[in-house]
Amino acid sequence: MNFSTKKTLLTGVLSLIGFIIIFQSCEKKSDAADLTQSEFHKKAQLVNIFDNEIMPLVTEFKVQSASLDELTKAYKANTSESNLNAAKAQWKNVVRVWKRLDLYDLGGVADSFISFEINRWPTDTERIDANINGTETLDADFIATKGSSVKGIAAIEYLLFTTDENASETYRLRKTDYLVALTENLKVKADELLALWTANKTAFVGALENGITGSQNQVINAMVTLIEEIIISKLGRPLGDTNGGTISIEALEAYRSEFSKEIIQQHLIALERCYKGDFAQTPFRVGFDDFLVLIGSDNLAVDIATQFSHCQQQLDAIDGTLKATLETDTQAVADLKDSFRDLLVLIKVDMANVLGSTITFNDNDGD
Amino acid sequence: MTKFKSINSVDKLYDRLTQKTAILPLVVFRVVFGLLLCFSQLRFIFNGWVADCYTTPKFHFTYHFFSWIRPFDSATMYAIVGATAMLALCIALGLFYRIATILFFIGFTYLELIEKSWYLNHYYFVSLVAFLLIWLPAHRNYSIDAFIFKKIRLNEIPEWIVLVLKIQIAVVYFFGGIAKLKSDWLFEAQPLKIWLQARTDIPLLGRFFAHEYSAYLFSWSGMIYDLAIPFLLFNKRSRPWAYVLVVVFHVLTYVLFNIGMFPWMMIGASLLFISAAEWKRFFGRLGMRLKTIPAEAKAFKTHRLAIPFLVGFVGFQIIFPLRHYVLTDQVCWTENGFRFAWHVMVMEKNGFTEFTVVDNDTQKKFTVYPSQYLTVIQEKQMSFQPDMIWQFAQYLGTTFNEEGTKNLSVYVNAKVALNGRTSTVFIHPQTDLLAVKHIDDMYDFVVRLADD
Repeated sequence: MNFSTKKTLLTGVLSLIGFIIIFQSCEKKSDAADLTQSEFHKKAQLVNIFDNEIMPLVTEFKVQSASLDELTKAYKANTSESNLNAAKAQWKNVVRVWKRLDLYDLGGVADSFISFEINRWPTDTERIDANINGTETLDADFIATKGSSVKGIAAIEYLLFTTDENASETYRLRKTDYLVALTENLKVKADELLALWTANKTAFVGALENGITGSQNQVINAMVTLIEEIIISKLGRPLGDTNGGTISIEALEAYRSEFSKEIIQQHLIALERCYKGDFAQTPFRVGFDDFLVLIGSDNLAVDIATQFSHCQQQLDAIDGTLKATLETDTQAVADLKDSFRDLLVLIKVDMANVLGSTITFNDNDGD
Repeated sequence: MTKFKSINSVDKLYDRLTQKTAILPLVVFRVVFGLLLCFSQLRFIFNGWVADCYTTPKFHFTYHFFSWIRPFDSATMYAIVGATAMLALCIALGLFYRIATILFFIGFTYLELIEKSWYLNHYYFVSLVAFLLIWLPAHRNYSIDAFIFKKIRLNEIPEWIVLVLKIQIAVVYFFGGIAKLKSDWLFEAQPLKIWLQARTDIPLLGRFFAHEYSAYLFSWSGMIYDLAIPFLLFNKRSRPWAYVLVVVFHVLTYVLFNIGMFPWMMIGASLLFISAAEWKRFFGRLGMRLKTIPAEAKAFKTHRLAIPFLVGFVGFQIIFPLRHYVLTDQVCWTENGFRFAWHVMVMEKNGFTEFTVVDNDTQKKFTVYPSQYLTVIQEKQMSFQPDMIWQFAQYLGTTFNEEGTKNLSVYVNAKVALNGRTSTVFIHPQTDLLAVKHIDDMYDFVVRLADD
């Protein structure tokens, strides 16, 4: 190696070190003016999701949970049919909000496992009954020490929507105590959720990176997870996918309240709004469809929007409750499941492909 | 006369291969390889991948002919990965080198053979290099072994010893380049068009990635780099620039892609091309002097089987990666002959699978989603690889027929998207996968990619 080649080597190495230093020093930039077009879109999308969907839903969830707590307390004070019906109706209002919020179990909020505390499905009815038949005082403190399988939205449904004509007076009284304790706990969890999201705002809207920790990729993974849950658990199991085709009503989520179809409806609304960024009447409605158009996948953007409409059509084709339709028109439910499967393929395969999942939302090395 | 001439040529080649060269480049390679592998194995543990890869999966996608390879319990697996890290360190230090290389090769290769969904080209490269190191005297100077056992010290080794490793490195690059000679890569700039669009967040360079021309620029320069770099490294005159290029290229791939240890492995391995004289001059310019440790051993004697083995090894390295040209004309789609062929970062591929198990006697149907049985990585990899789809179908056949008395069929609804194309049916949906008796026959049931 002569002097000039050594100089060449040194120049190369110094250039490389310079490149790495510049790269590292630019890593933490925060100036919006420095954002590329893609980052600008991503930032706008995340801000849109947070400001116009997550926060309004979390705030609404807090209001609805507090209202449910008031109504169950009113029912405890006077166990009339009308008070019970009012509590049941309010439970449905809570579910309507939660099933849209369910999609956003992300980042620091997901790490807190609060979504399990709010709604773990299916609930453990045997353990709930054991708690009611026990001797401990059934209040918010008692519930706070218990696991997620005996509390939250699904447990409240079990208590509100099951009749206990043959049960003892003690059981009925303690059941009401348990119900109130659960709604009090839910109210606390709703407050915690609001605090968690408020604390996580900066992290959520600021995670613009392309890796698995990036908020946009987390939202895509959450969409995929929710659609898979709808296909496998919320429609597949009731259709008998796991037992050789025998219809299983009890495998439906919220079959006691016959609210299963509405739950899927709310999931679908949440997914479509998330995809389109169409949360509020603001000029700031950036969604995945805009992102796909930005990277030149206009046709895919349209295909996914069309598939959302198809899912809605299949859901609308179910006239009565999901429970009744499963027994009378199984094919309609199967068609609904198929429409979600086609939506899954478009998001998990096609959208992931054009967004480059190999280098984005993967957690292992590649070569 | 001709026969005499050819014998003369063989002799000349033999002489060339056995002529003496300094041991220093081999030692540098040993140290760098050992340290990198030690780090790589420790990183594997700290990333939680021992559980993800070996102990969490209920079912493992094993390699053809190696279905007998099974993981041990969690503690043992951690111990094995930890042991390979320590063995790699021993290789770097040249401590108990021979036994360390043998155990490292067995341990590392065992780990890689457990789970096909975690296949990476550089893992294959590591196994091949580890195998070669068993036979090569990389510890016979500048090592703890040579410090303790002074009589093994060598300063010079036959040329073929360094050459075989150089060829191994050259093979990775050159066949990596050949793998890029595809219409998607060259004329559609895929998958780089997708990947660079996804990396517009990179400071400075990111702005250019939003433009299509950058994908073409990277595709063509990447292909030319891979094909040319072995020759540029072999050539003494171009070597300094070539090595700078190696560093720049791999640092760039590290920054751009989720590529783990591969860039550092290649940057480290390519140091082998730098000759002892060049190292000495390099350090000399920096005011440092590389001390020559006197050799006490007799000259290294080339075993009579070494050269035939070398020829066989190189022959295998040239032929094996090309087998896909015989097996399929759509290698990225069918993946028939894709592995062990240096197809490095040549495609963006995603898939979806949904299996139906049918009990033909009762006509009962069970729908199975792989996520119920597989880890995220297993499901992702299986969804677009026919041999893995076949393996999972066989597993379902066994799982649903524990007594072995049922007459079952397994079908798959598989959709795959490749390099930005719309997803399309991947396996003929009416194929009873349990009726496909051999894993290699599975490729016959892959639906052809229409526009390839």
